[in-house]
Order: sequence, then structure tokens, then C-alpha cells
Amino acid sequence: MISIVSSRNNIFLLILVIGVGISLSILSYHYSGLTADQIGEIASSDIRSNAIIETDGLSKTLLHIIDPVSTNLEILSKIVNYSNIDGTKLIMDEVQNSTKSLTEGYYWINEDGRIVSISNVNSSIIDSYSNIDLSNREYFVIPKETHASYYSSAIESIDKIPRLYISFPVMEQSDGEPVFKGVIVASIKIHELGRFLQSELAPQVAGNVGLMDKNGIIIYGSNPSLIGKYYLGEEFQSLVPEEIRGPYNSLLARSLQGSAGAEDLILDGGNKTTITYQPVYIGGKYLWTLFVSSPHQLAAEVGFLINNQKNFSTLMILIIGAVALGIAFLILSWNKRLESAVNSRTIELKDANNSLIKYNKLLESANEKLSIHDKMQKEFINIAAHELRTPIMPILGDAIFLEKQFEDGKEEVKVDKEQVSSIIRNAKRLKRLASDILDITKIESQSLKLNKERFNIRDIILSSISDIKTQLLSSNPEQLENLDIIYEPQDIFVFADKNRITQVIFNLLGNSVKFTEKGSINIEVKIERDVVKNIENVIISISDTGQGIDPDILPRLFTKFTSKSFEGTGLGLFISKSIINSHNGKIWATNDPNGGATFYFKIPQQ
Amino acid sequence: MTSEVEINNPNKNKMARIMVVDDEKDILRVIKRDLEITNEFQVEVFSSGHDALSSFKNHELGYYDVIITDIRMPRMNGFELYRNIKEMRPDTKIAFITAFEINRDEFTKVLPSIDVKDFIIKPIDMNDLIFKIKSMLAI
Repeated sequence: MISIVSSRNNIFLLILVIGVGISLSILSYHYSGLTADQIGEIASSDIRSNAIIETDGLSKTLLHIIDPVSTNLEILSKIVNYSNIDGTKLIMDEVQNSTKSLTEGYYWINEDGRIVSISNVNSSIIDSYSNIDLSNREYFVIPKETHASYYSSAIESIDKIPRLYISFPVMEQSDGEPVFKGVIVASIKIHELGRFLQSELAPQVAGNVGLMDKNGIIIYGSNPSLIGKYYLGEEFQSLVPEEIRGPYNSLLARSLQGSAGAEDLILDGGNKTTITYQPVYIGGKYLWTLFVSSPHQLAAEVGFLINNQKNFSTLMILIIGAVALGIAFLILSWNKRLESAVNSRTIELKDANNSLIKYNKLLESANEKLSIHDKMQKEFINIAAHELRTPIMPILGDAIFLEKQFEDGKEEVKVDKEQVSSIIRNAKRLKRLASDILDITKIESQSLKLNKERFNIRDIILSSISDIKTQLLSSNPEQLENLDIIYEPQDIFVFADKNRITQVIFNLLGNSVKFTEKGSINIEVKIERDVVKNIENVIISISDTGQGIDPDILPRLFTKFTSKSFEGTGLGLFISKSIINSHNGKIWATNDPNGGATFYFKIPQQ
Repeated sequence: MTSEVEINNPNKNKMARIMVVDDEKDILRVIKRDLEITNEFQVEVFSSGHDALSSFKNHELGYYDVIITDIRMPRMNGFELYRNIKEMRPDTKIAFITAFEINRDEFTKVLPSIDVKDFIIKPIDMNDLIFKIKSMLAI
């Protein structure tokens, strides 16, 4: 019972531990997920702000490298001297050397569009170019017409190399009027510019640089084939992934409005890329837009790492949970063992207690026996008192009556027979009682001695019948007439205490007579062989046709003070039983179905 | 003294009728003889409760002045006889005689419902018995 209850508690505890473990895992997983998203977001915004700063810095760098070229061109445009071509060329060479990391060369073109000189190129090569007419080129036409500098888009020459051209007009004052005298052009290889910008980009950004002019023509990009192409053109659009085409195009459109910005594009698969754009103003004019695309590789990596961490944490929690579970299980099973030890101790205690209870019960029953014994003792005294006092009264009464008559001075007084008989009858009754009480005392002190001798059962039965009849004749002659005592005499010898066996037979016969007002009493003697003990037993039975034994009394028939008669002491059958037991015999009684009772006793013949 | 008063009392001049019940015939004989010898009592004896009860029923009320009964008797014992008589005539004067070893306290304990004025332990001293019967009659 205890173990069932406790195991229920244990199961509850286990479920609690498992439940707490699972909810902790879920919470931690969820929290880790949130953290991963938050950290990813922080990383993304960091990347965005970094990209903005980077792009701003890059645009300044761009201006910074373009600026010397512009300055050189401006100076050259002012100092070129058609009368000193060689001298001017020396300056041009110097200028080229100062910007050679970016510029391919500086060209001097006259007002007819013919090359006058090229930096760092010898005169024979210059001569071979001199017949090329460049008067239709934008870098010639626009400065000629606007008298202002010109910054081209990406232009592909015959050698398929895209170039950027910057040109300044050469103006001469003639009569106060500026007169166009040709242009100074610097050519910049876009690849070089791109490579430069790319190299200037902080490696942490891990992005790509792009440059587009204000009209949406791509000046530089990571894909060289797109240089010089319009962003809404087929070549470009075909390379833009379809899922981001709309947002990408609108982003680019916004970027061409001359202001800076940074926007995220989410690619298929969830990867983010931040596109930062920054307008580039040269000489106060909006010319290009610089792009830096920064894939959120880091953020993704952070997310990935956190995810890993999350998985690891979850795994750890699961492992810790499992270990905790194991420990809990161990503790519980240990507890259970302890409990079972306690239980077994409890059972031992219970056993001890039970045996105590048993001893108590034994004591109680002993006490009960004692109190029964007390009660019996009291009953014995009571009955003994009654039986002793009752016969004394008539004896004393008659004796006192007679004595009183002598008081009158008489010498002789008249005594009638009834007075004498009464005195004798009652005195005998006292004698009988005295003898019974003596027998009981002997039996109870276990000093009932048997004087065994060989005698004929027939003799004692006949004498008992005779005594009973004599007794009845004086006390109840009417009953004697109505009662038939049947016995067929038969010589059977037995080795026993003659007086005691006679006492038993007389007692049993007396009982039968007492309860058989009329009818018959049948005495039988048989010999029976006890095969087990290998002895002969004598069985004597006395059956009557009387009222039978009261069923209430039957179980305690042979105990002390059991009597349905109001004359007896209730000691006769107890004494008889004790006598027969002393002979190693047995005494018992049965009620006959047709009425009446039979008393039996058997004793060994020898 | 008491006897003189009663003898001189004309109302009580007639002999008191005493019923004695006991299953011991020798005892009945002795009691009857010793009471009647005083010439103050007329004694009727019965050897069983049944005989006594039927005689009580067969006579008019107040026929018996005092009833003295044994307790231990076959079939109807003294207590049963007492109850039967008290049911019919609660003011009947009844005394017990017994050979049992019993005192007044035990008697009251065993039979709290029975108002026992007197009970007499056998063997009876006849002078005591006469005195007790007279005191019962005087109430």
C-alpha cells in the first residue's frame, strides 16, 4: 500500500521533471531563435550603416582621384601652346605620370578634331593618329559647344575596352571673345577605376562596387559585359533575378534622382543584400551614382552561428535533462530501495507488534481463564454453600425442636420416625457432598490415586442397580414402579479401581434415573479391540428414555457445576470424567434421535 | 414486646397467614412446625413455585399476609414467583430465604428492580424468622 502510493508520487515527480525539461528546451529554443533573429537584425543594420559610411567614403575617394585629373585637364587646357607643341607635350607627360594609376593618357586635340599630341607617346606614333578625325566625338563636340568640361559615360572604343573620358575645352581670348581652340582629353580605363574602387572598399563589407551615370548607363559593375548598358535594357534585366526585379528596378530608379540611400533586397532563399547608393557630384554637377552592394553574409553567418549555438544549447539542455532524469530516476529508485527497506522494517515491527498482540491475547485469554476460574470458584463456593446449608437446616431444626422439649424438664421426649429419617437423609446428603468436594480437591491437586485390582464388572453394575433402587424406594417409590432398569449380567473382568468405577457407574445411573421419570434404562457392556494400541477396551453404555441432554449443556457436559438438576452439585460428571481419564479411558454422551440420552465410557481391560 | 402489642391488638388477633415455598420438603416441614407452634401463624407450604402461584391466584387478595420463598427451585424459581405475585398485588410482602452465599449488596446488584426488604440465609434460626415475619406484618 505504502509502496503504491509512493510510486505514484515518484511517477508524478518523473513527469514533473520531464515536463520542466521539455518546457525549458522549448523556451530556450524559442529564445535562441528570437536572439538569432535579433542578432541577425543588429548585424544587418550594422552592415547597412557600414555600407552607407563605406559608400560615402568611396564616393569621396572617387572624387578625390577624379579631381586631380580634372585639375590637370583644366591647367593643361589653359597652358597648351600651339606654338610650342613639344614643350606642352613634356608637361602632358608629367601630368600623365602624376595620375598614371588611373589615366591611360592625356590627348590634345585641335579645333578640327585632330590629335595634336598624346602624353608619353613618341612623335611617330602621334603622327600615325593625326589623320583620325575625332571632331564627332562627344568629348570634343560637347566642350566645343558648351565651352565647359565634359565627363563621359562608359564608352567603348574600337579595341572593345570601355573608357571614361574627361575633356576640357582649350579657349583663347581673341578680341575679348573666347574662341574654341580644341580640347584636352583624359581617358580612364573603367576597369582600372573599378578595380581601384573595389580595392578601396573595406574588406569587411565584402560587397561589390557599381557605378552608373545619371542616365542609367552602367559605367562599372562586377560583370564587365554590362558596362555601357542601360539598366532597363535587356542585357541587364535578363541577369536580374526575377523575384527581385521589381524592387531592384525601382531602387535603381530612386538612386538616379540624385540622393543617397540604402535599401535591402531579399533574394530568393532569404539572403539579404543591402544596396547603398551615393550620388557623385563633380564641379557641382550630378554625374554618377556609386553603388555598393553588401550581401548579408555576416548576418547570415551570425544567424547560422547562432542557429548552431541554439541547436547546441538545445542539445545540451536535452543532455542535461536526460542526465537530470537519470539522476532523478536513480534517486527515486534509491528512495524506493530505502522505502522497501523501511517497509521491510515496518513489516518486522508489525510482526513484532503482532507477536506482542498475540502474547497479549494469550495473556488476555489466560486472564479470562483466570477470571472464569474465579467465577467457577465463586460458583463452586455458592453451590457448595447451598448444598451444605440446605441439609443442615432440617437436621438442626429437628434437633433444636427435640432439645426444646427436654427443656420442660422431661426425661423422655417423643420422636417420630420422619424426624429420624430426615436427620439421616440429610446427614447422608452432607456426607455425599463432603466426598464429592474431597474428590474434586484430589482431582484438582492431581493427587487422585487409583487402587487397581481385578474385578467383575457384573458385580459392580448389579450392586449399583440395587443401591439406586433402594434409594428410589425411599425417595420416590412411584418412579421406581414406572422405571425398568435392564441389564443382562455377563462376566467381564477388568483391571481397574473398583470403587472409582463403581462411583462412575452409580453416578451415570443416578443421572439417568433423575431425568427418566418413567420408561427404561438399559445397561450394556461390550469388549472392543483397539487395533492401533493392540489392547482390549471395555465399553459400558447406559441408555435411557428420558428427556435427553439439553443442547445448551451438551458441549460442557463434563465440566464442573454443569447441572440441569436442582438437586445435584454439578460435580458428578466432572468427577466421573476425571476418574475415567485417570484410567486412560474416555467418557462421552449422545442424544438419541428417538429421545433419551446414552452415556458411554471405555477403559482398557488390563 | 412487639408480640404483646400485636396479641393485644384486636385487629391482629386473628392469626397471620404465611405462605412458605421451598422445594426441600424437610425444610418445609420444620418451618411449618416451628411457626405454627407459636400459635401466632397459620402456615401453608408449597414445594414449587407453580403450586404457590396457583394457590395465590385462587384466593382473594390479602389472603396471605406474608410470603416466604426459597430462591433456587426447579422450573419456577423464587424471583419468578416474586415477579408474578408483585404484578398481581404490588403491596404483597415477600421475603426470600436462601442457602446461597450472598449478601444484601450483591442481592441489590443482581436484582436492582426487586425491592427486597428481607432475605434470610439458611439455615434459619427460627427466632430470627419469627421476628422478621412480625416486623414485616407491622409495616
